[in-house]
Amino acid sequence: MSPTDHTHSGFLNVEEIMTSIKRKIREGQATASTDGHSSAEVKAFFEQAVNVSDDLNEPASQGSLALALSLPRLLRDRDADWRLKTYLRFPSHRRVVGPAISALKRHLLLPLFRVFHEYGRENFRRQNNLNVTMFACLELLAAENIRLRRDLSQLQQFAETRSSS
Amino acid sequence: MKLGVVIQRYGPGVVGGSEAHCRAMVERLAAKHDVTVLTSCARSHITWRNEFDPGSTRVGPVRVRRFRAVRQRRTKRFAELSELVFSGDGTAEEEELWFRENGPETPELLDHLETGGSEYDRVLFWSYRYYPSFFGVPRVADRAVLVPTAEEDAAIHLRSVRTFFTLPRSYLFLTPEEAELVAAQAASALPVSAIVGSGLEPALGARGAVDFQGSKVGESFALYLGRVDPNKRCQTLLQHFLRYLDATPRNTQLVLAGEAFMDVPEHPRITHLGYVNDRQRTALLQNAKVLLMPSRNESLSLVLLEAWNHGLPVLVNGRCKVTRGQTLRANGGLYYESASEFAAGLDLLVSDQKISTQLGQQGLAYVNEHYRWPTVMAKVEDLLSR
Repeated sequence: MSPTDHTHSGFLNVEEIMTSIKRKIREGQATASTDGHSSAEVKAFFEQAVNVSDDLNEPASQGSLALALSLPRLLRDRDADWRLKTYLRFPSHRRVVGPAISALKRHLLLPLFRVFHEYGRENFRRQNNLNVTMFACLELLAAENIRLRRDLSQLQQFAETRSSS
Repeated sequence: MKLGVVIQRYGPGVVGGSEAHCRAMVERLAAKHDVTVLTSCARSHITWRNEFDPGSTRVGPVRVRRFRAVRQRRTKRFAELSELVFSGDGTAEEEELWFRENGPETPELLDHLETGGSEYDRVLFWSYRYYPSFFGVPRVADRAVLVPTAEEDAAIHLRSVRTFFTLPRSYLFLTPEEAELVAAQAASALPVSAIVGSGLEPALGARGAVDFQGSKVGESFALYLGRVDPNKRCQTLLQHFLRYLDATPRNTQLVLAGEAFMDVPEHPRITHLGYVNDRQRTALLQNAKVLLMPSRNESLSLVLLEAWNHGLPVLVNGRCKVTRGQTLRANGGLYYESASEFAAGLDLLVSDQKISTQLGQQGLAYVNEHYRWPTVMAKVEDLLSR
């Protein structure tokens, strides 16, 4: 069914049109395959991974960055300090002169070294983005691997049942 | 009813989604109620510089009382603090400091609520993320009506927001998705609420020629209306559009109308008009083939409603729950989750007039049913009376 077919009843359902668009894209990817595995499918896989990481790296949603993927969370649960901390804190354990030392660091030292701090921070941010994209790829691959193993196992069981009967 | 309305900035020259929403609603509330807007003296949400005089004044039919911001926003300090609290490592004190730095820091406004808040029957607060709302709601929680304008952004994940969301007496939401988001973050069940959205007047005027003083706007163009900003996903929009052009023989043009906060590539099929006035905006909406909405974070997309008000179909980022939800409810356009879907959706909407017109008309019917002012204000009045 082409998208135009949805006009027959007068009313158009967006989800039906989208289903039709998605199917056409999938068919286009399948016919693009000339080797054993379609390069379009590989591209679609990476597009999916990039979409996931893109969402997580959204400048406005970095609060949830480490929370949405399982692998970083697992690493965190094991107390591994894997995250790139791009922010600065100015703590001091001295109760009396501590605030003065913190103020000195913030108002004197930080402005002096701000150029280095910002250079480093920008690079850390890029590395962070790369890490998240890699984690997203790994998780998608892991999920795909589990699905394929399950399918294989079901096929083996099916084959065994048939051969025994 | 005596109503107080708290918003970060208000008045002529103040541009912004929540501010425009507030002003449109307040001017209608003022026809029936005794309304006082409590706000800062700032015009810019970047600096919070005091540009209006403090004290009482009138803006249209509304009484406005302005309070000075004690300081301008320290952008570097704010950026550093944002990085810290959005990493998830911030303490409660650091989160509170973030709301203070986000500004506009108007302690006299809080004093006014503290001492005179009980004189209002209801106090409506717009936008939870700014200082006046975040610190103001707890002072008049028993009569506070919050219009959170919440998005799926970093601030919504702050721990202090969880308790804050349990404080208001009631809520006015813009979309069902926003209500779900706030309910999911709140530490306990939300109080009574209504989903009201925003109202529009019916669009007037027939299609006319577009005149943009030398800028070339062709016959077949896709329109982006709003801030041209990477945070609005305009970079991705441009990449998708260029990929679409590579794969199609069509003459489709992309017209961007809005102030740019990023580089727009020089390309014969991409036209950046910059800021457009209301007349030009209307002409663009009347003549475009489709409105593009790439943003990922929205609490309600007014520009989608505007497009449907002109019978224009839309193509939205399917990864934005709100705009996708709006589009599906209206059946007024398509969505995309990849460059391929963007190209296929855009191609369909610019090439198939029948589908395009029908989707635009369905969008218009949706606006007529849900987003005309009498419908919206009836819901607001009902909530205020409860």
